Amino acid sequence: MKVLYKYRFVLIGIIAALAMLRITCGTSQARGPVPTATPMPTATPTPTPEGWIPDDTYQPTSGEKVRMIWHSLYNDPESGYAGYDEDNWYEPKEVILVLTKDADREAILKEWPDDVKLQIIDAKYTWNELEAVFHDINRNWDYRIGKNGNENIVIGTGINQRENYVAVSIDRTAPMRIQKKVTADLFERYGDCIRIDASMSLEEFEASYVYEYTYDAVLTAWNSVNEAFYNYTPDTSLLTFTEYANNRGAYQVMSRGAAIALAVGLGIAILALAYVLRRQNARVAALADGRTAVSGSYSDADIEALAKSAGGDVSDAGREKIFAAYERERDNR
Amino acid sequence: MPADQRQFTEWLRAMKQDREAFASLYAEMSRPMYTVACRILHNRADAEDTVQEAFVKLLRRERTDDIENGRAYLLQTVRNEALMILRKRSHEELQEDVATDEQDRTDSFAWANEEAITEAIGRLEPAERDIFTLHVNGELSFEEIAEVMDMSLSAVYRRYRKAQKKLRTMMNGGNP
Repeated sequence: MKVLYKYRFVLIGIIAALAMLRITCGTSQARGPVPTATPMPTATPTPTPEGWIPDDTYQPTSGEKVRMIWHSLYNDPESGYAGYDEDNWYEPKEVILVLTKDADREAILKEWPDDVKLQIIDAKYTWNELEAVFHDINRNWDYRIGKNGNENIVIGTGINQRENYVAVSIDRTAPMRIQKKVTADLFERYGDCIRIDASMSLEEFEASYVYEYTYDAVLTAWNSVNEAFYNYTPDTSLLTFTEYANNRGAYQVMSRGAAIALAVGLGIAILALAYVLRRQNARVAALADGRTAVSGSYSDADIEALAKSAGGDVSDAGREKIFAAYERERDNR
Repeated sequence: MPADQRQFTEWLRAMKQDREAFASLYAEMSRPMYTVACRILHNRADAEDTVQEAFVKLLRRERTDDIENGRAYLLQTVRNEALMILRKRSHEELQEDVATDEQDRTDSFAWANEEAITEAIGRLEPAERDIFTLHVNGELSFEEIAEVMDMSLSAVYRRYRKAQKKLRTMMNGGNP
């Protein structure tokens, strides 16, 4: 306890620094549960009905008449939304529809004509869940419409249904500290539901979505989109949650406020330590000197110890006198 | 570790015939007795004389085995002797002795590191000084000190705390 009291200022400074760090440090914490979409009805596994292709190795044959999948031209074709538009026909392309394991396959199957072939891909997240994350990111982080102030560096989002994630583009020209913080915040909140791409600046991103279309250009783009979608090659350049989690430390950044608070706390601790050491040194120097007035931090125990050691001894001559007196008294008895 | 009461009793019983017993008693008590006397008298020679006188008084007692607390008895005796000498001194003599003793103290006190504490103790009130010395150097309990100085236990404790506070202030560079 005495040691604790002696170094009380140092302890106070250290405790203050740790408290400030804990309170204000901007670590990646989930803001809340991942938004859940309206759950889709749970699918009951059924034998593969006619018209369903249970694996992804099916190759279209020439001449097959199938329904066309509608694609949004404003998304990357490799991460686009797949839906059904009965007005679009093209031969001889295969129809591909990505389904999740929670989909009511029977219900969806009923929506399609009998001559449509469907491809099934099992996935961790339902389409609705991916869409909910997509909208949540746009609502909170999107540079154009989000509300996160200076940390709005998300410049684009897209759903890759085949790979079962939401792709998030962040502005690579933003300060690295903010890039790391947003990356950590997104992954901590959405986990492996997202992948992050930091390959474009905001200007590059916006420029890549400026199109001019003619009918032929649309048709050409449409064909290439479908071929690209069918012959899909996963994009391995995006940062995955696993890669982030294996290197979490690199993405932990401190906010400016927390850094300042920590610096102040450490400064207090260092000053307190210097103060204690200076007083201790002054005391040691004074004791060694013996001539200067003692200054420093004396406790009651220190003073008592000093007083005890400062007690005097009878001189040798005095001792002889005392023992001589003893002999006299003993002889006189 | 200070000698316990049983050992003191043995020494007191045997010392008149056994020089070794007296030597043991002297070895145990001479330093605290001398310190008490020095802090009252501020004079080495007088302090030694006082210690001698206290031992002689002990030797002249008819019985020593009836002394319940040998340590307290000797310290009380030396204190009383020192106070008696102090009362006999005139004011002028006291001042001269103090002036001389300043040099004596510098010469005779070999422990330069303890000069400050000795001076600080010297600046205490007499009762505070004696209580502090009897407790720290004499290793008497507060109950024993109350008996030696004929004071209440609460008064002894109160003055001791006051002495501590003053010494702490003085040693840390302040004025008491």
